[in-house]
Amino acid sequence: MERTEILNHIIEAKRQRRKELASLTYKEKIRILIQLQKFAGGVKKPGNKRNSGAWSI
Amino acid sequence: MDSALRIIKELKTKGIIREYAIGGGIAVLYYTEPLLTYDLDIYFVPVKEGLDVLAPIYSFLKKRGYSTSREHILVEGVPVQFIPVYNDLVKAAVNNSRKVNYGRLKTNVVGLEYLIAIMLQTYRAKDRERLVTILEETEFDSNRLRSILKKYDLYDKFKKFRSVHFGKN
Repeated sequence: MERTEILNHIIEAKRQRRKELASLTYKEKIRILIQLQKFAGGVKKPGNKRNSGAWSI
Repeated sequence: MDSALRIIKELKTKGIIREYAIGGGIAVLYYTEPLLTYDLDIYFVPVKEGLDVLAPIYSFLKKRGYSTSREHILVEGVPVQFIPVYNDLVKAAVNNSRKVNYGRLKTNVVGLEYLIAIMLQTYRAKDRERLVTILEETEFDSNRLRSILKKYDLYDKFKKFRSVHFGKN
């Protein structure tokens, strides 16, 4: 496989994955969002500020 | 989230607001892959026009024991920002919102084409970022979008945006 072919393959796989994630139910997406908020909570933003906390639901 | 959405729905059934729809990042997330956001933006049509359209909402929610935190009110653990419809586009977006299921609950989300139009209008860095995601990942109705964009004088801006990011006219 050529390098461009490999790259196209990877890009297409990522596109498919995003499409799959987009088709999840609203409720499932909110569950994932809360996980994202928890992960991001530990990351410092410029100016030594922290990200807002995760929803406590 | 179920409880927060139920309370928001109650604002309408109790006649505290005329209509509402989820907007912002949580609306975008309905159509795309999950993305990081922190606020639940609720666009609403007030029952009466006036200076303090938020007062009845806050009064109702405070009586229920919910507290405010900066520009939000924390409803069942979710920071909610109530935004009165501030122009004709946002008002039309709320009045033509999409009825969606959240588990067993029915709620309103700003329709995809209106969401695109609102983001084109507000055009902050995060709106532009989300617009790229939406245009890449969703199947919007081009005719409906064109008609909305033309009505609110946003069609040229859209064409320019699409040309810069996707090389299309």
